[in-house]
Amino acid sequence: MRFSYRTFIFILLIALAAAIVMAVLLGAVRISPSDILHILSGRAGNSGNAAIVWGLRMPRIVLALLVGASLGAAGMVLQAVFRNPLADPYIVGISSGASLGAALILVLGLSGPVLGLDPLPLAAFIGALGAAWTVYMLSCKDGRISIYTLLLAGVAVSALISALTSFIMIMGRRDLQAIFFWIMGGFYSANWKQVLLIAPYVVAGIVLIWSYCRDLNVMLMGDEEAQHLGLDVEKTKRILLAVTSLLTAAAVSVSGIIGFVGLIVPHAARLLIGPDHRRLLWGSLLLGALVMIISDILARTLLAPSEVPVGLITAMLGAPFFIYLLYRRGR
Amino acid sequence: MNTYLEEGIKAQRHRGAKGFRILFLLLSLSLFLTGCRRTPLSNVPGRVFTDALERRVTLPDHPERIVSLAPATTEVLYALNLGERIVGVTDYCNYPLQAAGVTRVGGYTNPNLERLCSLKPDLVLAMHGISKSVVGQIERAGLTVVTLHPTDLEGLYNMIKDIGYITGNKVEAVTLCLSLQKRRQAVSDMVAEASHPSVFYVIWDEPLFTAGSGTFINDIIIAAGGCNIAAGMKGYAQFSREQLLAKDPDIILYSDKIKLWEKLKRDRVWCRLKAVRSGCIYPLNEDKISRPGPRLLDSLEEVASLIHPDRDRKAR
Repeated sequence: MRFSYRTFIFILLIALAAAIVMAVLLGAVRISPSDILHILSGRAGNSGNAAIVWGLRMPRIVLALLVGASLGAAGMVLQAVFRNPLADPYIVGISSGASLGAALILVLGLSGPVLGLDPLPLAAFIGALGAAWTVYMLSCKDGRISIYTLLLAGVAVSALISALTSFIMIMGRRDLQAIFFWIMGGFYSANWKQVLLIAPYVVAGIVLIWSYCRDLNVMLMGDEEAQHLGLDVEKTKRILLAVTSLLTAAAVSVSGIIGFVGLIVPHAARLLIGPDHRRLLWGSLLLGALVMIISDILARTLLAPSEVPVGLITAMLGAPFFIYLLYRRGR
Repeated sequence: MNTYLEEGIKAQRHRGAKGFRILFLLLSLSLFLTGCRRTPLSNVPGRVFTDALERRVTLPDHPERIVSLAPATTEVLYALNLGERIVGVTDYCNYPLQAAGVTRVGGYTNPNLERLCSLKPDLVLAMHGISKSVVGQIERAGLTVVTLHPTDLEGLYNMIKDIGYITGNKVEAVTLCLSLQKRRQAVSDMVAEASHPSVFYVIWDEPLFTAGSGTFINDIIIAAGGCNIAAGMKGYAQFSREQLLAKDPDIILYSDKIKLWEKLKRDRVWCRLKAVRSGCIYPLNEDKISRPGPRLLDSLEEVASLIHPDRDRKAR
């Protein structure tokens, strides 16, 4: 089931556009398409529905798009750097670090702005980078990163930090639910501020990854071969790890832990358009954004006016689709 | 967040660790079975009470050592002047202040059985929400345990009368109920034939959680002459921000456990709400309004005066 690159990108773009339209149209409150057109063209003024579309739905869609694209791209890079199909953006302890930061803020009950920023995403971001940095330092010896040690250190550090988070949750029983929901991931409180907060990281991260796509192709052949071909493997690894950590940390800080997207999207894209990273990057970005927007539509509407955590939807959609792709390939 | 909610979520979260938990419970069971002496059953034909789990419990004649396994029952016991007889309470029992000096036996769905047993209570009062297996374990330890389950304001009166019967303080219980009913009637008179402004109660803001039908919060809002916009939902439920904007309630009440005002000032979407613009947004003591204890009437009076300030003034 391999499409030509152009057809694939074209289909993805159409699907993404359709998903965005659906995401604007659907929600807990029914707003007719003509009203929405009215609102989007700016003629509806300051009505309540305009607030729903511009204040709630639009930032949510953009945020889901950015987070999905980030996780897709980060997953793709890490699978290549680790040459391990199980690598995902959370492999260096980012999810556990972010959870710890978020749990601390929720238990301490801080809500006032810190340096003009909301403390929750800020703490999650710092926690994520702290964990990634620890894992990186543990696996760095004589200026070289051992991928093997990195994987194991990631597991160990994650386990340790998760235990700390669980401890905090038990101590701060009152905030258990808030922490629980944060960890399950979602875009409940999406707003434009969050979009502006992570957009620079996403754009810069993607541009950097794009500039390294050729090197990623070379690295797939193995460290030694890549070195022989004139690539500074250690430096490339370091930069790519730093970029994906920043990218993932930014995404996680506003959305919580949304699993499966970073693992499955790059694989699905690879199965559909092949392993050339110059193409795969765009496939992963678009597919990640598409999956996230569709998941969020379901999250918002399945149990409206309640919401399902997006992380649950991505796992429920992602896993069977992935199994299907594997099955198709296996034949 | 209130205790019912958080215990429920905790139970959900810990479902994965069930095996471990059962093992742990078995372990603690065996510990206290060996460590605890069973109190011999009295030969006196005792009084019998059918509790919320449909168990027929033979009551001690005059319970002297009572463990209260819920904040609400603790509040009722103190209101009936039975504070002297309480030997154990849960970690959540923070009212009245005297309760702080009593031995804690853990959470109310998962009390520490060893600690509970060591207090040698002759009566354990539990509330709905405690699991049958925990009740069974307390029972097997030779303790008398009664579960209660008030679901609405009427249920509160019944629970108080039941506790009066169980503890042998019927008169005090009936007197307390009468005074509560009188206060309830005064509120009903005050809001009678008034308009019904729409009300929204915020338990938690991210994600937005509210109280739907079947909660005391919902009952209080209705009894206070308001109309809960989340009445269509069952129990404590997540509410979408879209719906909130669309329904645009006249009044927003929120739990004093969250700092909603600080967030609102900085949130452009919330600022559009009618209640926020007109300043009709008030914090409420969440323990008072979510616990089926005598303080529910305090909440009722407070909410009624917030919803109908003009009538409140007239009534005074």
